[in-house]
Amino acid sequence: MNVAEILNDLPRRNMAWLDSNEAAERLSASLVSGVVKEQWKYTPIKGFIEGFNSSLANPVDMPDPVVMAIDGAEQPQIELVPFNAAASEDLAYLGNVLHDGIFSERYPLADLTALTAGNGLLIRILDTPQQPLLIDFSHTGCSPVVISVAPNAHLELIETASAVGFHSEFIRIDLGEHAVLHHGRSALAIATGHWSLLQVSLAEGASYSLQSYATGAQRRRIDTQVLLRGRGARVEIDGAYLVEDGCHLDQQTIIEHEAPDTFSKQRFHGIGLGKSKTTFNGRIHIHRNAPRSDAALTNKNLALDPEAVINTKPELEIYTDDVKCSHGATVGQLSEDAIFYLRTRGLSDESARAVLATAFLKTCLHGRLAKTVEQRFLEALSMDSPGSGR
Amino acid sequence: MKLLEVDDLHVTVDGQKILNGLSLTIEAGEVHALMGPNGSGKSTLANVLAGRPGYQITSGTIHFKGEQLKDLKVEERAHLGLFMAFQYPVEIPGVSNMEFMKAALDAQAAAREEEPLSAIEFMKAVRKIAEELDLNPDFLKRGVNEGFSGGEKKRNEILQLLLLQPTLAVLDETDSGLDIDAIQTVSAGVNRFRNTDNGLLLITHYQRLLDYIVPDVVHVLANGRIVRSGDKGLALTLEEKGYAWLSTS
Repeated sequence: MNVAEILNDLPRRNMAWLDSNEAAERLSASLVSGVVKEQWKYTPIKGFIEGFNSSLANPVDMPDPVVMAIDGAEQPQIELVPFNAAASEDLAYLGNVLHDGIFSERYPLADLTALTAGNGLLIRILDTPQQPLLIDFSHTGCSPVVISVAPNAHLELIETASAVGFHSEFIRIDLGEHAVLHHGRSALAIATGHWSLLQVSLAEGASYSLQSYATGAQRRRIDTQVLLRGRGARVEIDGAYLVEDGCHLDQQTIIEHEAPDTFSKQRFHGIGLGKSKTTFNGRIHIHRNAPRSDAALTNKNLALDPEAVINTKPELEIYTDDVKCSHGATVGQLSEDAIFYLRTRGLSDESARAVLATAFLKTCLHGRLAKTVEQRFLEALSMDSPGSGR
Repeated sequence: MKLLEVDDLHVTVDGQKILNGLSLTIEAGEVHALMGPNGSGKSTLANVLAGRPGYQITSGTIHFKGEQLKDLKVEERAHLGLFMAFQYPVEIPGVSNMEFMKAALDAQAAAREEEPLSAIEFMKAVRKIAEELDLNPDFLKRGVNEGFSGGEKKRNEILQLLLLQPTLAVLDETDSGLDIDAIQTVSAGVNRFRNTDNGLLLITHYQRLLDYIVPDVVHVLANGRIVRSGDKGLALTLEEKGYAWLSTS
């Protein structure tokens, strides 16, 4: 089945929050645009579209993510509203935020996710909850999610993508003035296909810290976009990823410095094993009206096998003079001196390599997910991969 | 009991001959010092003993506790009780000193089919040694040698020596870059290690270290072979007259 046929077969549901004809038209136009060709250079988008098709052909009952407080208790500060049950005020809000970049030429799979899902979940954080909020995308299917965090509220969000079938989700998070969000997210399952878009918008004085951990999958693409909209908004991202033999991971981050005195710092460490394919693209865009922006991006990669392919590219676009901006991207190998040192103390060659590779990733591991992620990485690193010589 | 027997060893590195017929025997309970001018092959010997890749044995043999060393992997040499204190210890960010040493001890215990130390026993042992070496306990939490001063790196090597308790320790220029106080602390640690069952090979440029760690035998290496051996007095003579004296005497 070709892409055009798949698009023709998409359901045209009547939804108050989404004009499905408009979405389908936008999608068809996006797929042939130059933007998509450039954005999807290293990951053919067609494979994902086929995943949506099989997802539609085999619908599941519970496509919504599991959302709960960490201890399972009800929390009055958190309100859950399905998109299809949204009252007019919420519908107006959804219309605004979903057309603020998500439903756009850049992210055609967002339209596809919305059309396939037919519903979504709005999570309103009215005040600081007692417990962290957990979201698990554990089911095959598509999930649009919007989270709005009230001004001055503090939230800790733990998000996991544990489904092994094809799944796609987009999450839009709105941080009100001086709101604080600590966000840990992981995608550690070797899913048949997984697309995820995270878009976070920060108002004045808001602060966002993200720990983003991933493995490769048969096909996985993670798009992250942070909009620093208000003066003094800050984002810090630490990411670690490991792509096993035969797996694929494409990560694209975009930081938009749209206001003065905004701050962004990103650090990603990644490892490619066996015949894996890894792509990292980090774009920093400093707008004309964002003087005194301070932006830094580091992406370090280790190719542990000769056949592991890693592409990394930082992109800077700066339209004002008074800024601090730095970036660095490397692809290297483990230090033979360090391996020898560990071996002279009794560690086997394999353990020495696993210890060094884990240490490299651990530099970016923090928070509640760190232990689970480290364990997952360690298991992958302890296993032999074909033709590795490790 | 013979711990180490090196017989007529020839070694090349990158096709260049470095050791040319070196022979050396170390018995249990002995401390040997190996001196010699720059480029004479001292560190090459240490690296060959430890099994560093790139060092090609073209002829001769090395036996350690009766086993042919070249048949053993780097880690198997360590399991058998061979230890090298590095001239330039490697920095490993992200692996804490504590984790590293526990992993090393556990790997060696597993290879020898011994019970590993419990976490508490291990912590006690490491803290005690760190104190003896005048190392701040905080450094145990830091990355292996990460941001350590030259002196701290060398003391960290001795800490590992005392913790791992090998049968033969090769100290490759452990005194270089140390001030007098640090040399005394490090030497006190090495002297605590010495007993009648183990052996030491001290590689050094300077007689100074031998004031604190008194050797049983001093060897002088030149052009890849031992050209003279003697007692501690030989080191003093070298200090006074220099290596040039060897070719004229």
